[in-house]
Amino acid sequence: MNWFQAIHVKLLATDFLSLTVHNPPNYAPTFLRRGMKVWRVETVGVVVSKERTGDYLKFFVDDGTGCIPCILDVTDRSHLGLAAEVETEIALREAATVELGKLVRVRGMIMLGEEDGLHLKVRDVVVERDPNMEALHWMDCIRLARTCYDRVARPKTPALALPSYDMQASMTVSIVSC
Amino acid sequence: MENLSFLKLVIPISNLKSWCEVSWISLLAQKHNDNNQFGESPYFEQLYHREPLGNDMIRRIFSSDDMSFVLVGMLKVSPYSGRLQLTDATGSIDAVVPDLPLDVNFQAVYEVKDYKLVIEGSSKKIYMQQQYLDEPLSCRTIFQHFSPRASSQLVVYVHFYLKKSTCMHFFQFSTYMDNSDSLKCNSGEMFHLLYVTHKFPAYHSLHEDVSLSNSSEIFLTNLDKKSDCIDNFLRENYRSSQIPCLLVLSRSNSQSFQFPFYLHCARGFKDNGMLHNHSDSKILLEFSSNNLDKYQMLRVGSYYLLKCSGKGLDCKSKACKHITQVKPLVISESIIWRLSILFDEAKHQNGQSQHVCSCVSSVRNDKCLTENFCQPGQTFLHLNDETHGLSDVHLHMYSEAINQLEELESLLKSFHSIFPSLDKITTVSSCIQQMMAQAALTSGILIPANELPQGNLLSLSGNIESISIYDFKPKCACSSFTVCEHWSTCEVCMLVNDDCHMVRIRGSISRYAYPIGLGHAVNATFHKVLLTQNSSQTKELMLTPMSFIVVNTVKEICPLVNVEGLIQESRWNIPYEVFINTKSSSRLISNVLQCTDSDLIHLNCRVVCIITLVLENQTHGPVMSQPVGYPKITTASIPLLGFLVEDGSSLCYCWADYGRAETLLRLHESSQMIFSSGKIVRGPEKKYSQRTTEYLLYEMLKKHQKIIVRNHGAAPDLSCVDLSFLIDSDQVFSKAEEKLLRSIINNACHAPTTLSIAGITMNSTSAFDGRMEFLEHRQTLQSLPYLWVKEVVPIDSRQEAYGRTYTLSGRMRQEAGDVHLSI
Repeated sequence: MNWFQAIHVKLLATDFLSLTVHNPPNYAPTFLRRGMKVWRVETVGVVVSKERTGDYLKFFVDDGTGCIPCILDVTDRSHLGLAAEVETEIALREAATVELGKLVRVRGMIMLGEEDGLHLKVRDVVVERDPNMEALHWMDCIRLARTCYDRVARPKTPALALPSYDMQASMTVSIVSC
Repeated sequence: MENLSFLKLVIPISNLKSWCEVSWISLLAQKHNDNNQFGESPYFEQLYHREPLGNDMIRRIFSSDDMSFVLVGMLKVSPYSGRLQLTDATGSIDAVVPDLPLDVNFQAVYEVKDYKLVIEGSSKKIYMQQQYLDEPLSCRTIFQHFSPRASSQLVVYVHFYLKKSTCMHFFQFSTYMDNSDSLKCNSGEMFHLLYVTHKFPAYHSLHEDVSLSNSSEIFLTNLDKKSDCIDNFLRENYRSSQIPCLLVLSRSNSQSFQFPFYLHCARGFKDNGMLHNHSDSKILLEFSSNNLDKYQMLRVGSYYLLKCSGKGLDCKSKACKHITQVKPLVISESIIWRLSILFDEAKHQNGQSQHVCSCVSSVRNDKCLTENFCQPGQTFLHLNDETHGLSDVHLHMYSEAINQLEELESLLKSFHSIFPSLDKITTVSSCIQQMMAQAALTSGILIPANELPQGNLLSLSGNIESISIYDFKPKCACSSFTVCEHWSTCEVCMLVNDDCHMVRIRGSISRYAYPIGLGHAVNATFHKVLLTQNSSQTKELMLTPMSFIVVNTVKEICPLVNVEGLIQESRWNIPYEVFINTKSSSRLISNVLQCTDSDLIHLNCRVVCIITLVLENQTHGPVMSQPVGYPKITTASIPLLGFLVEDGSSLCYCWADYGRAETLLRLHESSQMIFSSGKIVRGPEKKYSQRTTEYLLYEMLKKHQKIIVRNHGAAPDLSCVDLSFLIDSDQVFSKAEEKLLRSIINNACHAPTTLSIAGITMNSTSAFDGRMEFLEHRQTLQSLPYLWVKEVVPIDSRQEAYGRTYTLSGRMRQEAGDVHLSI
């Protein structure tokens, strides 16, 4: 059992948008980050766009390096049983919390749509009230990339000689007191 | 040489307070390695800002038997706080004297050898001037002149009974008076029999003239001194509107006087042999500022005889018209006696009273409310003690027919019909029932935001689990009412519970209304609190300006006795080691497999899936043994919770129980989640809209005793859809109950908070102690690392970010050369 399929990998938007997509015919597409297969992603950013179309809520999350499209399915499936009813309630409740300008944390599965292209099918979206969480997410992305993801991709490669991310440019991180 | 061990030291009260602080310091020093770490850790300060009092509070009760000194002082009522105090030339200390008579001599000096000293304080904030670290009981410090010291951050008061104290006669104090003459009764004198139904709390007016009042029912009497032979009028007088009595005026150390008389209902009426009183015969008694002592000593639910005097209360022969028209003022010369009314079966021969068969002397005994409050072996103190014969006057009422119980019962009924009953003092559980019943009636009715709170007044008794005090007016730079001496009102929020339920009481309270001993782990009665509905249509209890709080029992709190165990059981565990360490100590789950058994691992992760949930009904079990000092959540117990967490690197299979499991399941947040979406969990017959998740769980477990939930969902989706429910009863498991559990589980998997979990790796299964059946459940999960959760806290994002930045910047400088990371 490859448990990596169940893990929500922490990626910056720039990494997410530059995933390599293998889309063979008659097979589900696969997504790779520097040779490592990725199935699910977690991101933290600000909601910069929001659109409700029928049974879907589509919104964009900007984490400072790019915008990740996210689609939350709010179809009412209460008629399918209690489990579906509870899931529908939770989805509706979470959809109501998504507002422009809010800092959110999104976990979802990577999907490739004809119209939407690369996007996240949202598993859960929660509002982060602590603004430092965004900076912490950046730190987590960097740490996981250096210590975990890049080693998975190139297991024989020692600890990075060069940072995965371009750190030559100065990066300002402001820690907010709250 | 004579044995002088009987001699005891009398110390000034200022030295007593210093001794309390020195003892406090040494008490904390015994339990902690470093006292300063609590006061100086910035993370501790942040996290404990406005934390409810009680999480860190300690209360110790010291007996005089364990101390080597006695207290000597005079009693007085403080003009600042309105509290009774024992005072000497060096200072004063709050005092609780349950048997204080109404006409106590405030000029007398009392020697108190048998007392209890109560010290309360925070386990963290201690301020101590160096000079007071010297021996407070040494001759040098006792006789040395002190300058006024800074206010203590401790609450200190002394509890003793006056009858066990010695009144010292000093002939040089010419103002000393013998008050035994106050118990005199002359022929033709008029008394008013009062029944106190409520005391309004005192307020400090603009002119610093305390205006107090209480309300009572008044019942006119005609006291008439008769001869010893009373048999001839008993029978016929009872059939009219008069009740035969024997008035016994007595004091423990003085001679008693007995007067046969009859009780006359001047404004009542007779109906079928029963006496009734008009319901509108209420008066307000006002107490002037120099009679705070009389006000303090009146007790709700007690009977008093108020002697008419020409000055304050002008009575005529049978009807006192003034009382019905004005608010009578109680002045210094007013004589008030506390009355016990005894229904006596025995004959009275030569004025000797016989045994008492029933007594209606005062408000019902609150012992029945506190019997479950104190654990065996636990030190506690009754502050509101009604069992020590506190009355000055005893009114014996006896049946004409000695051996006919029916006559006595009808006499009792007659008497009770005259006097109104107090507001029933409800328990927390009954109050919850009222709240739900009213919520069902008023659901959907919106209350405009600007309207004043409306609702019913009720009286409630319960145990205070936590109390938050804030927003002092006038503003003062303190968070504790003990430190700030200039506040007049403050906002409080209390969680009050009985064994099953908890309610929140909030509101504004004045300094005068704040009783001695009010705080965490206290049993108290709240008179006339308002059951109202707030803007979010939730029922709540509010203190009003007429609410009156009586502290019944206080018990010792010693959370430092088992610091580690208590911290693990609390809802928000604050392992202080985490915050002392400024670098991030959390690991990635992918590295956990490399750790050995018993390593304490810190993970920053989120719950992704619940695998196993075991719920048990614990109404008669460990609820009572839960550590004090922490809010009691539910009688539903979670002996085991198995769940998966992830941090972006891998998954970890974690196990937790009890308090940690409740935190992970977000039970305290579930109520809002379940009910705010507009879709309520409906039971088969009733609306659950206002019930908390904890209450619903309690109801469910009361029915099923034990419930085991297992997740059969297939990886890698790790959803919580395919759940099975195993119940330990023959009852039907309803859809509503299933939905509640599914909601709780799903909420836990959608937690908004990244958690910092500390646990020990479990490469062996020894920690499961006979719960192996839960391990066999999911073979596929056995390849994951196992972690037994010891502590759960919300993540401190700042600390974690600082730590990561520190680590990263160091590595980057090594590896990448010139990299600038500015913060």
